[in-house]
Amino acid sequence: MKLRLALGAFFLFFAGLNPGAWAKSLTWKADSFSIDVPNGWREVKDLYGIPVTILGPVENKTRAVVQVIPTPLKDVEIKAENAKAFGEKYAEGRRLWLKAQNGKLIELLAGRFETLKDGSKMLYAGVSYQMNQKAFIERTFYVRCPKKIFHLKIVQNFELVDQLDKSDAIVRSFQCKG
Amino acid sequence: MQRMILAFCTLVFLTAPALADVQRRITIFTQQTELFRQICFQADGTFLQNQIIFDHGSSISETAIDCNAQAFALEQDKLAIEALLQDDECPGCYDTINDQGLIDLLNGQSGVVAELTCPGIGDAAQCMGELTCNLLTSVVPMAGAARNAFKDHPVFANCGSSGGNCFTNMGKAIWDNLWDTVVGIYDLAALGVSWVGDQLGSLFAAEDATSNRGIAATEISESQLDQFIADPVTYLYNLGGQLMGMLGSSISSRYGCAEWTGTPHASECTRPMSWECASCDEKLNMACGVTSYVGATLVTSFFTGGATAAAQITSKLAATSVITVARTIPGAARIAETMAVAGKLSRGGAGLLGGTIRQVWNAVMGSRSVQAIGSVVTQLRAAGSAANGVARKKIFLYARTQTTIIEAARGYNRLARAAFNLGYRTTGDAANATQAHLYAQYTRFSNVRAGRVQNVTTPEDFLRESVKQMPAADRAHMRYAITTDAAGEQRILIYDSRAGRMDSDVSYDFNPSRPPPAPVAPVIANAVPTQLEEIVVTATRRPANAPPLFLDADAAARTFDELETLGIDLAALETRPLTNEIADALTSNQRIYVLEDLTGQAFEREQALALLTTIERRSPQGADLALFTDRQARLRATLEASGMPADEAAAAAERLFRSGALGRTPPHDQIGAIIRSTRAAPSPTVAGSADVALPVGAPVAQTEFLERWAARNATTRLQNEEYIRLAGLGRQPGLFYLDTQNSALKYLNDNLRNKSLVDAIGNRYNNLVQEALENFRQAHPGVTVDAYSDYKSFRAAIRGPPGQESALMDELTAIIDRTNASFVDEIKRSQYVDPAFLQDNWFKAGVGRSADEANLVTRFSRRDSEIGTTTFDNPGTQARINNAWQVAQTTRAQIANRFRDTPLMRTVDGTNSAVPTAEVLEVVRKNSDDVDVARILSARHGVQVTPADAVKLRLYFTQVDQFSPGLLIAQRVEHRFDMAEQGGFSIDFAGVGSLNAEATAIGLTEGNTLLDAITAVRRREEGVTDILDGLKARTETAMRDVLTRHDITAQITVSGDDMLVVPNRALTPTIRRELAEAQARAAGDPAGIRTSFFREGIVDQPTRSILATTGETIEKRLRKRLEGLLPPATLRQTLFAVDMRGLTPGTGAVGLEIVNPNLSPAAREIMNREFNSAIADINSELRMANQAGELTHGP
Repeated sequence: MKLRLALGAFFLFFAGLNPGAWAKSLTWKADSFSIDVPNGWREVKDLYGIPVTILGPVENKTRAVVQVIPTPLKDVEIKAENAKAFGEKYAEGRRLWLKAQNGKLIELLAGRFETLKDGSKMLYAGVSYQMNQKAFIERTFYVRCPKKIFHLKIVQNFELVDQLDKSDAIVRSFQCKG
Repeated sequence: MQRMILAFCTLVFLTAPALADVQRRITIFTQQTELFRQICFQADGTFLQNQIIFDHGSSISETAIDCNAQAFALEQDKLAIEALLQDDECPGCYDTINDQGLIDLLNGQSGVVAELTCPGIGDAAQCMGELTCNLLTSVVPMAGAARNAFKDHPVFANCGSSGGNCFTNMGKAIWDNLWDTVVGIYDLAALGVSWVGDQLGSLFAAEDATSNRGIAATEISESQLDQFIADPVTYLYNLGGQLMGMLGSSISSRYGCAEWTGTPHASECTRPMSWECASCDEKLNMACGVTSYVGATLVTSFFTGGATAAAQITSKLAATSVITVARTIPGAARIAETMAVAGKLSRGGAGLLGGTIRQVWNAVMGSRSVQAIGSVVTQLRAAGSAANGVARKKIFLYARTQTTIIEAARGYNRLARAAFNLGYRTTGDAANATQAHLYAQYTRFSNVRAGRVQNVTTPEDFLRESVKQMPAADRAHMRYAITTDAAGEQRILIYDSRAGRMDSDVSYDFNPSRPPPAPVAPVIANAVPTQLEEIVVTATRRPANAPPLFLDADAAARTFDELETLGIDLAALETRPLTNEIADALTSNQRIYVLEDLTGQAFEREQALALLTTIERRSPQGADLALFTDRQARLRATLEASGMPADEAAAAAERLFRSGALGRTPPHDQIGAIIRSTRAAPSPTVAGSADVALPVGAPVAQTEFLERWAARNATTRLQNEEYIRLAGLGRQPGLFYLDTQNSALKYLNDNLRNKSLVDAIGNRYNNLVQEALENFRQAHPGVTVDAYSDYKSFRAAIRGPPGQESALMDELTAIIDRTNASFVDEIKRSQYVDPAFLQDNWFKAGVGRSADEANLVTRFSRRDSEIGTTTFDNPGTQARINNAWQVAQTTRAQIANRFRDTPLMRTVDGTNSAVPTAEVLEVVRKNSDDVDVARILSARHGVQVTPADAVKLRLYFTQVDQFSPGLLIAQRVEHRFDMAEQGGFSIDFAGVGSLNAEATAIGLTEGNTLLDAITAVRRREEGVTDILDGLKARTETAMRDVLTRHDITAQITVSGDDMLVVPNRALTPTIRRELAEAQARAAGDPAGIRTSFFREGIVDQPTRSILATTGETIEKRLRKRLEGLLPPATLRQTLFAVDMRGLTPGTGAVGLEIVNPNLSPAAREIMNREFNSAIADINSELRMANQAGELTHGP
């Protein structure tokens, strides 16, 4: 617990403007990261206990969500050969969760490995589901930075499927900073 | 230093699962031992050795307790818990226990529960504020870093410090999901393991938490976001208030009770407490149990479906047996604690105060209940009465007047189930063994009582038949006595003289003043026959010399007369005996007449209908008819009649059959028996029968319920065919349709885990609907009803005077609503289903002017719980369906804009609309991975398809699927793998689902109105059916042609989209090759045929089916691997026939027949190479599933 609080104390963030379609790039101080935030999107700290949430514009009473969580995980390897098993574990967990939530699985995205533009290694997987007559898309990403693992997640209503590419681009703009 | 901290935390984390387990187990164990003491010990402390407690009026699984077995099981559990605690190296890591109910139990104060009272209606707003205040203050001590932010906030300036431990759970659920940082969850998950990449996937809790919060975030508006940023505490305060407010009625109806018939929580609630009148503390008490369990579920439900959905979640969860446990155990008002015990999702175990776990456990060990069990086990062991099952314990304690014990037994068994679900099996295993033993006995008793055993006319007969299956040593001690019950009626009581007590007998509701029925032909008074039932049994179960049990010679003679008038050759018919199994399956007022048709010709449909009508008219007392067409059985009987021993006759008949000498016969060894049941009559009063209707309000034992309903079909094949014909007419003046569906089939199967019971529930519901329809018909002269049923639906076409459809439909809707209510009441009143499982919406119904409209409105009402039984004409309902249609069309238009004029789309004839092709939809259906879908479609069609495109295609597929027309099946076809001793092959007509989806998609684009679209969908679907029927017919003909050339006869069965060919001798490689080539020619599109041969000599019948399925799976995998390696056109023109040469699942050589005359050697080589890989894939998957994976690439 002390370890977690100590890390939390370093989480100060500020924004700097970037040219082009991307309005700004969030940068977390010290050991953290940067990520692009498009025009019309908002970033919020500690919304519902998530350190950083990047929110898309509201459309039809819903909005795309990208979460960024600097985890306390340190000595964790991200390897391409583990992508399949990672996806299977993730799928197992999602099924359990959906069962508890009375949700219905629409599809699962298998685990995959990718190297981000800054050379960071990433595992990701995804799921789509229905819950209370609404359909959601989720993509989960674990990125290995030099000092820790970052967990990023996209959550959005199916109705905003056209924004999935944009949410994806936000995630892939992620860069380790230290 | 950091390393040391990690090491310590690792230890804590590793013990966390044990913590929860031990706490839960101790709680369950303690409750069970206390109940056990009440059940198996008399007041003076005497143990009821060698006794099985069983309440005849309840289901066996509810009340059966074998005292010896359970004593041993509890002793085992005690040792297991002790071992867990001894192995634990960190006893200080446990939370302390603060379960007042548990402490009461330990102190011998069970049953002391303060009755909840209604203090009157208070200030709702103030109360809500108080609740929310309590909610938040109760979690502040746990809140860690943020506690000061709350404590110092003005909204809590006036909050007290109360909250209570129970309330802590609720507050924590909201806190955990809406406020507390998720970072700590990763902390827990990371500890104690050496990490590799794949173990990231075990971060279930982190994934769950981020998803819950992500969903919540998708719903946040700009103004809410601004409020959150400006003042997060107030924001959370308001949100907590909203969550709390929505819990009201659903919780109070389940938990709150102001007046009980007896001990609070252990008796019936006669006056539920209203949410409004409850004090804040009472609301708190009612709510805490739910929220401690539902936690995250509640929060996500709130954000995805609003308050209504969340309330439904709480209501649904409140209906689990876990809560019932808390309500029925004396002294166990510990709802929250019990929820935590059984709630696998909850993080904690028992409560948090009072002493260390070791202290509590020591107290439990020292309690009188546990001490008594230890003493009993010691004595039993000394007496040589080991825990070796129930076989040595034959004495039944009939304790139906002992309601306290019965309730305790129910509570005990529910706890055993809860423990079983948590992985503690001993008491559950002992209960299962006891139940199995009792079922074996009980079936016999029930048969006697139901009059299914002959020669029961005196109490002595009743005693003799009832105890017939007991071992002689026990049977000798059984006695009967004539007693008078509370209603003043005389009854026979059978009891065990060794028990020495009249209340420890084996007793049945048998009134000697009303003699048991005659074994044959009971007279049925005032029965109005309303249904025919159809059953199929195999003749191989038929004893060679079994007497005809239910044959009524007079009725048979009349039947013969009628047959003659129909031009049926009587010389070709003879009566056949029935098996005991069939006889036992019947109720006493059912009979079967079996007629054997020597000609082997099935009756024409019109002949059969006329025959049934005639039988019904001529035999109003309930004569029934069975049509028996089996040449082989007839031949065997003839040979036996000529003096040939039965086994030789059977072998000779078999040889002749296999030689083909008997020609093409109906299904081997089958009896098609049509039984008319008078059970469906509105007033099933049966004079002179012991199988009487139970009095209103009386519980119905599950066994009897199963006997009555499990194997019933509401309609015959012929009736189904008639409905299908009418359904094809579309909208017609005067005609409308009812559609009912079991929307909870999976729920019931998952929760009851008793397929027979689920079937019985469905059939009983169908029966009630059928009765209601009969009443409806009788109330409206001129109205006719044609019914249809299958395993999950019951439908009816109703014809009445044109112009009155609306009024009749509205009336029928109201009738079905009442029927649904009546059904729910019946289940509540009866006890064949645990009320905890009961939900009001198991069955959904809809009414429409066409069968498709009725089906569609029913499907939407299944999907949307806000729609009750309604008509398609209802404007609100139609608006919902219309909206769904429009949404699907919008999605289609978006896809069309993106991919118009590409091979991914096809233009609908005569329109400008385009829909994805069946091939595209097939890729979406068969690949769950959007990246794969995008890759495959891009490679196949040369069009760039992104994963986001794939997501949209999948969304569209889901939207279209809502409108796929209902499937109507006149009769299920069973493939005869049992006959395939000489091997055979299966053919799967691939892609039918996608063709149907494409047809539905096209239909939805046709017409300007929803009605037009529905009609068009059906028309398009019929087109697909016609194509498939043609393909199946061509294929069957082609197979017969090839086999006939080689003097082989075969039985070919065809179901929806597959075919099984069972030849009468083994197929050579040459013949297999010819068959595959013939299939490719018949198909036109060879890729649409998936063939799997399995070899001769496979002894085990299921193995034949498994191997055929494995072959089909290999073919699918091969095609998937070839995707992108060879041109799509090449693959479409190639048929792969997989040849499974193994004798057991997962073993043996696998051959591949490739049929494509234009294939290049290079392509063939690629196919063979990938076939190797496909086999390796399947082997790997089989091994991962702990099955044999030793398939090899054969010649």
